[in-house]
Amino acid sequence: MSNEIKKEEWPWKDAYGDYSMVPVPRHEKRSFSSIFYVYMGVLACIAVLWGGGTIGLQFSLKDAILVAVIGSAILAVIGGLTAPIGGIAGTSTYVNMRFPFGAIGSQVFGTIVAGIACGIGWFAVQAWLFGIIVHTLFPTAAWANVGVASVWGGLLMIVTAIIGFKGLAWLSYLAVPFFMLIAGVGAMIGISQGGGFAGLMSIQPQNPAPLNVGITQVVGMYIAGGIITADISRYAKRAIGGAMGWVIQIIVFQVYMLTGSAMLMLATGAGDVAGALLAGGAGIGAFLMAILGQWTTNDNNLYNGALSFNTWIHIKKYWITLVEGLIGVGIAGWVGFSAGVSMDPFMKFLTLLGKILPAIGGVLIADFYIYRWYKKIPFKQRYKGKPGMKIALVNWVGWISVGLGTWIGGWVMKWGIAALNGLILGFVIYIVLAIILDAAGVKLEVGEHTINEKGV
Amino acid sequence: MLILVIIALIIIVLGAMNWSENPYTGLIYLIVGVIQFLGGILLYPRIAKLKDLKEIGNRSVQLNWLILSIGIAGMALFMAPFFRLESMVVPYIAFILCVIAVLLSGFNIFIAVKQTKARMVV
Repeated sequence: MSNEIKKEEWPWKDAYGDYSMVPVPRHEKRSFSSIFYVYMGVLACIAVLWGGGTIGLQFSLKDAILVAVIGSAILAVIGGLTAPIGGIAGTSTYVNMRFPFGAIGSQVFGTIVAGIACGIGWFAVQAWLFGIIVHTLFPTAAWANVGVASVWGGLLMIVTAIIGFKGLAWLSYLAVPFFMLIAGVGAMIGISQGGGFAGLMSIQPQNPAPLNVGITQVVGMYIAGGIITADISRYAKRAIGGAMGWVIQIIVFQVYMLTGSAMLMLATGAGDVAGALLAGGAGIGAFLMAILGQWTTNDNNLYNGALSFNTWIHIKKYWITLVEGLIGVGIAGWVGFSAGVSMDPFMKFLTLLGKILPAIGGVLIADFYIYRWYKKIPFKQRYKGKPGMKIALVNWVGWISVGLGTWIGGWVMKWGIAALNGLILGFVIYIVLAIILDAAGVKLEVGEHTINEKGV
Repeated sequence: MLILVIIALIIIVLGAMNWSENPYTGLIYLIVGVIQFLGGILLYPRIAKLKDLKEIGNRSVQLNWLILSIGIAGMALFMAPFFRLESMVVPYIAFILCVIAVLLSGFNIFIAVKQTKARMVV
């Protein structure tokens, strides 16, 4: 009897594991602290310290703090709005994307966000940063050349992602408080070498940049995470829990980590964070931990990317992980050999992500909060699928809104903050088009797809 | 858990004692000590009203992870050149205390997972 009741409440079959295509059942939901800790685990990676370092190279301390706060506030708003979607629907971002983009759209945009941006882009960048750390530790060794170390580091990460992801997941856990502390150590070294806090405030950067460029870089650094918050918040017991967890980690801990490493770079004027920390006396033990944390974080990038590719490439996941990882290693090696420890490729990568991803988040938010409200769908019933439910193959309004929002916000508009422009344009274009066309009786959706009990 | 709380208190005292010689060293000792202290002391109110053994185990695992990871951070940082003191006796003592904290909290996690079937990763 109890099984029948459960079947009525949760009529799904979790065929792919981890509830990747179906809603998370009630008994698997987690507390606020669990959700918060998982978000922190994602935030705690060496790339955040590098992000802070790039800010320190471009801004005075006052402006660096301003850039960190405004960029993080934008991310807090984006993630604070996308996280409750996962909490209410109980499904991952790619499943939620079926509503504003259609079934094919969720595969395409899910692949852009998780597969290309995280699985290949971030994987390559972090493998390259790994190469820089190894080179900083062993500057004269041939095997520690930035390009060489990026390649063998990336290959090792692929191997662990394929065979040992679950076994290594807990290692990320160990690294979270460590990363928090090392950002504080960076700030301490910065204050010490910069002649105290007052001295640090008076230092001007060698290569100053406009504020909006820095803000776009901060947003670009974590915008992919801000859009896919539902992947974690779907496990939250209360919908608000995921949003709170996201906002606190971004506003408090990201600002702290960015500012800490910015202070370090501003004071030392070094080319990279690893070099500045080592020269400042943070110790080799610190770096070994950083390498371990980096390694496991990058495993996650590859793993999540492979999951998104797997929604439309139906082969064994380890083959996808292998190919995706090899592409990432190739890019990491190329950047490592051509740019070495220069921060330029990292800044360009962050700026690009800050331009191309926000519009996707804007459309998702607009569809869930405004369009579904306009259609008089009760808040707690939005994005609730069930077996046998029919959804569109393509929601063309969502596609056009993302295309226009990205192009105008990222490349046509020469003022404002590119990341924010894209987000707002995607949001506004979708609402205007969807509501006007809907009122005019024009169909927003093309084709039809029936969801089965596996959520496919 | 009580031993872990006492270890945290000793690290706090060591930090306060060496504040005048190197305030950064004093500060990092205080941060590590206070987080470990809170991790240890918070367990008691968090499990006081719980009756489900597995849930008690989950809470214990959560807080012991915090103590363990901050202990590893302490081990990595206390011996770093930036936090060096004139006499290295204090950093060595703090390092050994962190090693003990890491071992004890690791043991606590193992026991909680084994005996209460708690989740290894929250």
